[in-house]
Amino acid sequence: MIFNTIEFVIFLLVVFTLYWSLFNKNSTRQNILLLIAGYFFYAWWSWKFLFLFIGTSLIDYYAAQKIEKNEDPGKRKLFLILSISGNLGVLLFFKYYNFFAEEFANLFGMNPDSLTLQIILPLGISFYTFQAMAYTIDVYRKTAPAEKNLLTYLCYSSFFPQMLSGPIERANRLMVQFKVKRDFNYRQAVKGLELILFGFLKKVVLADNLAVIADKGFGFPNNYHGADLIIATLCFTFQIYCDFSGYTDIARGVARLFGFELIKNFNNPYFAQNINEFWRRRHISLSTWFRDYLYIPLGGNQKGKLRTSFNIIFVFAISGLWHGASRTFIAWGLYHGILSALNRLFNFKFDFPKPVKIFFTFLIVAFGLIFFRAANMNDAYAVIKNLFVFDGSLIKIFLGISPLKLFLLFSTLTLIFIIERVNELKPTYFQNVFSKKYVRYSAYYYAVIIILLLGVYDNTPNFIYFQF
Amino acid sequence: MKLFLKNIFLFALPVLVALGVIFFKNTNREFNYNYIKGDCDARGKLFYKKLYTDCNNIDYLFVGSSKTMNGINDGLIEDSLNTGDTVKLHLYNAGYCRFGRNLDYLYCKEFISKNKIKKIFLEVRSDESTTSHPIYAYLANGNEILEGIKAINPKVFAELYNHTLMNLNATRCVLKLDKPDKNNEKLQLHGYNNIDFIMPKEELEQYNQKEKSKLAKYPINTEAIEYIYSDFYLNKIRSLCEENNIELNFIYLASFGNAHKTPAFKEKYEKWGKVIIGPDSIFCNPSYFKDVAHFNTAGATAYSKYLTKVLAGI
Repeated sequence: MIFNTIEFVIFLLVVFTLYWSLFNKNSTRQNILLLIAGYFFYAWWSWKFLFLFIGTSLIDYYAAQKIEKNEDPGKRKLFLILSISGNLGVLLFFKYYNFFAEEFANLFGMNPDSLTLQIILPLGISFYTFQAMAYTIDVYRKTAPAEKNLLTYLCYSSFFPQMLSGPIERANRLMVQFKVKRDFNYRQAVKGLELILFGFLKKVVLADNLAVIADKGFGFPNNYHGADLIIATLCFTFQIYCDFSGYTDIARGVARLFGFELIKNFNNPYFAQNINEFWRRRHISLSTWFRDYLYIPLGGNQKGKLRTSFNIIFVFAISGLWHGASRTFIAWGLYHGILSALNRLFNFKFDFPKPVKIFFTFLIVAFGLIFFRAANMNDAYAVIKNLFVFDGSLIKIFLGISPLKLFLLFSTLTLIFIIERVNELKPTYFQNVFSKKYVRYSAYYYAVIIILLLGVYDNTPNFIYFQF
Repeated sequence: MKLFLKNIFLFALPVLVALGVIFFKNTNREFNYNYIKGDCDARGKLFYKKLYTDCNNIDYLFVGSSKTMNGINDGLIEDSLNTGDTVKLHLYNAGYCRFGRNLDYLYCKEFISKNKIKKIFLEVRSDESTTSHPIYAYLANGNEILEGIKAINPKVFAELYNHTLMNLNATRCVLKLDKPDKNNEKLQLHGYNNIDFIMPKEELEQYNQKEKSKLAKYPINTEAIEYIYSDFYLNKIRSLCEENNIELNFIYLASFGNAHKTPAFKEKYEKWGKVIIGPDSIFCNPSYFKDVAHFNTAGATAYSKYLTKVLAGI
């Protein structure tokens, strides 16, 4: 089930009503409903893969119990390996087997079809396996206790607002919230709805309409040049942000409706002044995961400059691969890894005004996203090659799109960025503005009208990060 | 909690009212036909051209699924019937891929509103459809879609959604936020669609054996509740024909091998009109089928010649 469908709206209404009425007596009842809802939510996509999901969850639960109970370091490590290999095994098989088989076949001049398998990628696999691994590693490191209550653990692993595309939550933050009874809080629920509305605006209006423009350029990179491809690249840069942060907003909003607080996964990444800051602001839950469970264990920045650079590049390459089993994602990861390593190595300090630094960081990020969006490396090269070809022809990428729609689209995009930036710099500003009822309701209705008039509903475009 | 739900309801009320207005708004027919999602061979667009730009009156209308579309050569039958000095008849094959009696009803209604039809030939099947036609939401109006609740149409809620979405798109076009699709199809006098492919005999035989054993295991229960939907629209088609003094007849286009021999609900159809069942010499000839369910060009020609004789006798 995906958020931008009528099925999800009905599902949410039913679960929300049951949660705060029939199942509201204690936390156990609330958790039972959330568990059923989570599994139903997943099974809506594929009931067969639900068993895989439950299986890996049970292995992690069991492994964590054993790790905590055992004092023997060897046995503790053994159960940690069991959990990690279970998760990584599933991830490697379903997500990466075909990629590596193809690469292997190409390397040795074999027919790739003889090695590849017909595999369906389970939805959200990269997210839920990473969350599960974080939990068992934390238990192993004794930074989090193993959860005794199976119901609580299963709820944590299958919380439907975030199970498919994050944020990747740590046990210390999310699991503890399942242990206490949630009481309905009017203010929190309204804030949740505001986030859901904001998320829908970003997803169905901005991301899905910008996708139409970006898809033209990236779909036919040899048919467009110069300004057209620059526009397509910029549109994709905004599309991916609106798509993923829109998803996160909806996830956080839905979680709030049930009395939960999820981590803020984005903090205005396109206002970062350098690439390192960009990664502290974008997909925060994944960046911190890689920092805590890969970068630091590799030695982090404690083993000299060269090793630090290697660690950074390696972690970013893995991060690229996490996004997708393709050379383009690895290239995207390496691009960021090299830039981050260079930034760290030479500690560049440009004496430019802040807006200039923000602008250049944005351009660097946008350029890197060419690898992320391109269907393959050939397409990525074609986009890059044609990006700087200006033949004097008129911009044609907007053809077929109504000027009024373009105006509303880009003005709404600008408005969203202004709101988010002001919210970051002056958190109380909008609280004061929105304290006036007429302003608040005008904003709500503006969002609803724009969602109705500009939203993309045909063929229900999926969230980009669902494929990861 | 109660206050929250109340406020949500009050907030949503104007939006729901607006969506209700949009849902019941009758949009331009050209927009409807152009908008059809999954339009089979652009037939929606072709039907629109036929309905709204052709001044030839349709005398005999064939309505049904792709079996009709591929099986009845309306041009050939028309030419055969129009020899001599008799009044010239114009025939049209309005067969549309996939099943759904509600769409049959809709096409009957729309073609009747634009033509003085004398006879309608409705395709009947070995098993009736139990669910709505996938494109019904795009051609029916709001009231007709809601009628699906009475008919126990299992897809009625999906249709409410799709119809609202279509009308929302029409509203966007009015507001110049979107451009409607264009109908680039040329007017075609007839609706028959030919395919030359011949399916291998072994595959056809295999299917026929499967169908026979299936029939022996699971005979069709015409009393089953899921047929209420189909029955509802068949009755509506019949009433519509009666109101407009149109003769209603039924055509049974069997799949290869004619395992079922007769259509489901044959007794009922016979009370309403003539049921035309083709000969086994056509239904059992493997060179006449492009797949198990559809005639190829040779099959359609043979069947249309047979039908011409039947029609000349009615």
